[in-house]
Amino acid sequence: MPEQKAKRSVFVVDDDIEFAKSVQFLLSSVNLNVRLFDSAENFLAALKKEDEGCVLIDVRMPGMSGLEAQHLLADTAPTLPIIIMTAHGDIEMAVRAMKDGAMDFIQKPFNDQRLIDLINKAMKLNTALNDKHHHKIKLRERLHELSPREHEVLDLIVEGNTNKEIGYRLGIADKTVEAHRAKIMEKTKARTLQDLMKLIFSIAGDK
Amino acid sequence: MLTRTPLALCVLAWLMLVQSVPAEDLTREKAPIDKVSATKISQLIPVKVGILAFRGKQEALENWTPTADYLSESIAGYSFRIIPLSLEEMEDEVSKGNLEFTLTNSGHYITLASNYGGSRLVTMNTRGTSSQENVTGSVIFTRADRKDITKLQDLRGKTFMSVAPKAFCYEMAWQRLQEHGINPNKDFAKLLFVGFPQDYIASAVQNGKIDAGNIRTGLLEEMAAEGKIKLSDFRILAQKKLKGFPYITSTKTYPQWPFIKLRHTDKLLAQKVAIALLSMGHDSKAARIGKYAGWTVPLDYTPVHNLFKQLQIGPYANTGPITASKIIKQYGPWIGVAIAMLTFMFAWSMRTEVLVRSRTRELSQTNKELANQITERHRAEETARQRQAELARVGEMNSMGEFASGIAHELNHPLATITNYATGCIRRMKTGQENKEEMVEILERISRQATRASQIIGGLRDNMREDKRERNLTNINELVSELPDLLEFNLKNSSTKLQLELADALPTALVDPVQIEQVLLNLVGNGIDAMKTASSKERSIKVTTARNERSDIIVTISDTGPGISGEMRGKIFYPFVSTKNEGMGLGLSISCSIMKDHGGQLWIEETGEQGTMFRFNLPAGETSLNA
Repeated sequence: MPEQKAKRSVFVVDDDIEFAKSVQFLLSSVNLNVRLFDSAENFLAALKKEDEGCVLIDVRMPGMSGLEAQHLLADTAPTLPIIIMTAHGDIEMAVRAMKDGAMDFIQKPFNDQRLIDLINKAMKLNTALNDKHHHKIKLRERLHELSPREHEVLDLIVEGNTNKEIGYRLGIADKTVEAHRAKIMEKTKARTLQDLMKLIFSIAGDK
Repeated sequence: MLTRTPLALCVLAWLMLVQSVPAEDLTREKAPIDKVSATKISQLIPVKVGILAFRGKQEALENWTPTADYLSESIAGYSFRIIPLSLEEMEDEVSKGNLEFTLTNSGHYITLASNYGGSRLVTMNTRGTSSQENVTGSVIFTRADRKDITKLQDLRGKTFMSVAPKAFCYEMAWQRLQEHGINPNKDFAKLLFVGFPQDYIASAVQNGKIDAGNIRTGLLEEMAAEGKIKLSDFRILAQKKLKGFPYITSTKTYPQWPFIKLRHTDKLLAQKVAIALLSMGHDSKAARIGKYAGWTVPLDYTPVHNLFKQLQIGPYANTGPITASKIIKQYGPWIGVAIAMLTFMFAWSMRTEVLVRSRTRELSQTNKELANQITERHRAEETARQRQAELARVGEMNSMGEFASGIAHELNHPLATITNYATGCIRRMKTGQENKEEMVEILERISRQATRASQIIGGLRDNMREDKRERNLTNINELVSELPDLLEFNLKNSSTKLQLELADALPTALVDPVQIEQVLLNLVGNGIDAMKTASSKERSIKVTTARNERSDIIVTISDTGPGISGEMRGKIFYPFVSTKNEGMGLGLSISCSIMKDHGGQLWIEETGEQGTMFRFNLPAGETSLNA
């Protein structure tokens, strides 16, 4: 069992607090830090930006449902993987949750090993998502260092233009384009054109 | 219609406003042309003199330019220029203040003076054959050989030609015709206005293109003198002999053309012009070329005013007793528009009213129908509600599937909680993390959750216990007949056919109809579910009623599903045994106990290869009563 970072938590959200406590008892046997919430509203209110881990949330609750909370979490905490807890016969809800981006679902009563496996998987996913998130931030910072002209050249490179075409489009010499290009590669720490493209596409769509 | 009245008033007010606009023009101040007198510039000040070009513009220019030159010579510092104009053009130029002086016929003068201000300076003398004349009249004539036209009244229904509706010579003729009871606007077969020059009218009459016509006095004589016509070819109608007037005329005579000073024209200049014109010799070059005989002091134009009053034209157009026909004539188009609008509004409001009425009628009809439907539906709903409430009391829910999922959800929480605690304990004990106090506490919690689960089940059992239900003599066939309606949705969804075979003369049974219905629903529902999971070619369920030799009622429910294995057969009537994934396994056990309560029995028949057949018997009511 891999050691978990202390600050990481499994956020268990269920209106049946007795049940939530039993989950906490089970998960603490494998040294997982568990935080309990009796409603989605309370959970969302308590959630902080720096919180890491994963969410185990009941699909059916009075007030905000697990699915609704899942939608809100997609915006506020995109790096927290979500496992939906469903009751017997809630297959439809589980399918919907998966379609909406839940990592997985688990039916009550749990098979303890399956639950623990799922939680571990979610924790790993959380690490990956966080790394990716931070990487993106870093990449975006690098792009911010580009001058307006270098941005223009970059846009044309991404469009697939040659140096000559870019020079023609911007009304500058090929040599100048070459110089801008070198500068862009240096600032973005991209070694090849492919690196550069990957970088651009990896942060495309979430400016 | 009351609500329309203000609108009509608005329309009328607006019409009056539109009509009053020219009156405003009358009072509009023209910018005075001070430069005419006040400036001492060495350059010549241009002075424009409008001339009514009744014989064409070129001729007017040629005829009158010498007069303008005469004025330019006589009055230092000014350059007079002739502007030949038609009646309409002159009106337009005068209204714009483009002219300083103008020379036009007496009738037109009256109109101009009234509309735009202006006063006559001098009156023109016409050049007569023998003497100078300063009056004019109008000649109405036809061809000499027209025997059918000898007097003005004969012109009724004939064609007539004149120069222009606003030409003075036409207006004089019009007055004369009116005296003889002819209204030129109505009584002629055709009234043609051909414009200047008037010579054409004489030719047209001579050629027979038109029955009759009228021109100014003196023109016939002039044309005869020019050799264009012969006077003997024409018959003059309503000819008047006037003392001292040398020309043929059909009308009274009126003052000749006045030379008019327009409102804005400098008075001093006007005086100078008047003096210059009066001092012009009768036979001066300018007069000769202009075909007139000098100028005289301004004549009295009262007769012209009288003529206009009689005809109600020019400045008198809107005077005299107000008659409907006059109003229509004047405001015709507007009244037409107003009437059209009012008619339209009336029609619209009528249409709206009719529509509203018919719609109201339709609506109230629909309402009645709806009310009926609602009452019916209410009754139906009430029946359904009662039925449902009763069914609910038997099994909490109509369908065992929904019922099961509800119960499952309730039971799931304590069970899931127990599972978690138990597995948590096992994990701890396996890894040696157990702590006695903690274990005790967890086991207490497990026990509490187990109690909670048993309470849920207990509540369920209480709900299902129906000991004191009323029993009636019931026709089982009737209960079976209701199945297609009650299961309509399920049958359609699963494409299952439901066949009923009902025995004739089936005795009634003393039963709780709701409970028996519930058993039927449960058995048929099971059949539907069984065939849903299997890929049975034909999905059909048959319900048969019959009576056996002991007069018991036998009901058989058979499906074409996969059947029940021998192993399961022995167990299916026990509680919590189910062949279905979502099933609770309560349906058959409840059905069984209901049957036992009614003194009957529920069992499963051997069917050989496939399909399932359930059968139950109920003692007939009569026997049960007799017993």
